[in-house]
Order: sequence, then C-alpha cells, then structure tokens
Amino acid sequence: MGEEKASGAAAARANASARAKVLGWARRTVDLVPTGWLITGAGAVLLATTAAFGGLATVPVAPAPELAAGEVYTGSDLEVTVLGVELRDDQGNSAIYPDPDSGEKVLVVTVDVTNRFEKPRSASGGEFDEGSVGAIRVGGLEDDPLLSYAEDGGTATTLQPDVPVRLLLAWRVGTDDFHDGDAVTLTLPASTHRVGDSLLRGTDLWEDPHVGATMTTTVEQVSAP
Amino acid sequence: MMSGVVRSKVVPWVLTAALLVGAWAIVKVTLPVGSAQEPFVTAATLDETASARNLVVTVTDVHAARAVTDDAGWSADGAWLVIDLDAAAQVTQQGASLRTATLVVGNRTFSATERGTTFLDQALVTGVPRSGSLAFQLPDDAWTEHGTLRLGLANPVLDGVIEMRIDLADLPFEREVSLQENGWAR
Repeated sequence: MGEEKASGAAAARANASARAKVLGWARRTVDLVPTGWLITGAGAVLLATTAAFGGLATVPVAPAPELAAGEVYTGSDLEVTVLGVELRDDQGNSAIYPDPDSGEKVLVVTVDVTNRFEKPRSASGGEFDEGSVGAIRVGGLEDDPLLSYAEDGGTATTLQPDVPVRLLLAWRVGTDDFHDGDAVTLTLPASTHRVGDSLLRGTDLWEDPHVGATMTTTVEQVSAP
Repeated sequence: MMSGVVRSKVVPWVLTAALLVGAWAIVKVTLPVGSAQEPFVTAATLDETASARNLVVTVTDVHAARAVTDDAGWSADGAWLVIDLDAAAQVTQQGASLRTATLVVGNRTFSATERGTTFLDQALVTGVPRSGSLAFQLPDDAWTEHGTLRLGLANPVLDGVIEMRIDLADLPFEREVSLQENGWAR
C-alpha cells in the first residue's frame, strides 16, 4: 500500500519535471524570436509604404470630365446623351405650362436615356434612388425638373431596362433668367448602387450622389432627329 | 481493453463525421434569405382562369406589336407586349387594385408601362370581372427568350400572385395593337 503511494508520488514528480522541461524549452524558443525587431521592422515598412503613396497629403480629387454636346455619358447605371437646352414660351411636350401673363418661360433639356440596370428605375429618382435622370441640373437651377416623354408629353416615371427613351426635363424660369444664346453648364449625376439589408433587404439603392460629368452648351432651339 | 480503444479513438471520429454531415444537411435544406417573404404563386395559362388569394385573372390574349394605341388617341412606337385580361377581386375590394404587373425575361425585370391608358392600377371589383390591357415596352433583344408575367395586388409579400409563361420568340409582330378600353368583362 505504502509502496504504491511512493511510486505514485515518484510518477507525479517525473511528470512535473517533464512538464517543466517542455515549458522551459518552449520559453527559450519563443525568446529566440526578436519581437522588438519585428515590430520596429513592420512599423518601418508601414511608414515607408504610406510615404510611397503620398503620406498624409490630401488626395487630389479628379475634376468631373467635361463632355461635348451629343456625347454619351454613362453614370449611375444610366446612359445619357444630352441633345440640347432650349428656352420655350409655350409648354410644347414639356411638363410645365408657363403662365403667359407673367412672362414665365420653360427651360427644357432634351436627353436620350437608357437604363442599363436590370430592373425598372425611377426616372425622377427618390430618397433611395439618387442620381437618376431627375438629378441632372442646368444653369445653377436648384429645383428638381419635371420629366415628360418628348414623343407625347406624357409624364415619365419609369425607365425600363435597355429601352431607350427621349425625355424632356423642364424647369419654370423667369422672363430674364435665361436668353437664347446664353452659355449654360449642365451637371450629370453619378451614384453608387447597393442592395439594401435589414429593413430595406433586397431593395436596390443608389447612394452617394455626386457630379459625374459637366457639359457646357448654349441655349438654342433643339433640332434633334 | 477493446472498449477503451473504441471509446478513445472510434467514438470521436464517428461523432465528428456525424456533426459534419448534420451541418452540411442543414445548410442544404435552409431556404435562401428572403424566402419567408416570397408570395404564393398560381400558374396560369392563356384563356384559363387562375386565382390567388384575392385576385382572379383570365389572360385572354397576348400580342406583340410595333405600335400601341389606346382609346383616348394616345399611341407610341416601339416593341410592345400587350396582355389582354379580365380580372376581379375574390374576397374584398379593399386594397384590391392591379398594381403588380411585371415581366421577367432572363435576368431583366420589366414593369407594365404607365404610359397611355392601361389596366395598371385599376381597382378590382369582388366577383365581377373587369377587362383591359397591360403593355410592356421591351428592348429588341428580349424577343428571343421566354418571359414570366407576374400579376398581383399592391404588395406581393406573402400574398398570392399569378404567373404565366409567355414565349416571346413565338409571338408574331403585329403592326399596331389597340389597348382594350377598361370596362366590364363580357
């Protein structure tokens, strides 16, 4: 009985010393790794890489490209061609009826648009659909334009995938705000598509609207084919 | 001795394998995200009445046309798919209007046009069918495939919808098609 106890104690001691041996060996191996040098080296590499890419200097923002009239612009999953800007005294096929007594006029931008996304898209845009055709701006006007089909004057609400349409974007302007022959600058929108999650799960969202391109043209009667 | 080996070597491996197979099976049988909101689909065919929860639809004719006109004198050129249909509510008129009308062709989804006067957004009457037409403006390259027409009420989430397969390639193009005037079905 006592002998068994003694042999048990001896085995425990042997186990403990074996464990200490392994631990000591591991500690010595770990100590061989030059941790300080590694950290300093990694920090140096990080700083050198940052410096190589310009350090903390502000990245210059590329200016939005300048388009020529009639050039196709692709942005915000749309293909847009601006055909011209004209000033009208009458409504025509635009969505705005100018009051003749007050001398109001309608500034109309004619565009060809194709939706290159695989689902229908709102033409005027909305809270979750920024940067659609309705985000085109001209001559410093802040308001959203009213959209209609150039063909029949009907209200344009939806852009079907890959179906090209000609739209009229109309703004109500004062008598002397614009004149024929004025040079005006248009801004064409760009935005980023994302599929929503949680409450908006599965909804297509276009976010982060910004100016994708600018275009300078003169106000004159549009004679589009 | 034998039981010791079984306990220490065989059992852990068998358990591991069982757990892996179980995990794989669960991943396989789990429905995709959003399945809990999918509508209940009723398949329809031409001239056959199909019913969903609160919607009864008979598609009476399908045309392909180079131009469409409506009874108010509106017309538009393009490549149009025109669906003539009779539709009624089945349970209640409350909220029963035909607001969901889409056509899926390949990976593209089209919605029924809001141009002209069509049956889109028309209020439905319980038990008494009304008739009209829906029109879809499609790009030329969509006409080689087949499409799936989906009709439903305002919000198809967990509601019944009616789906019909349309072979676009088989449809002969007519020069001009007039949209049916919205009215009571005959």
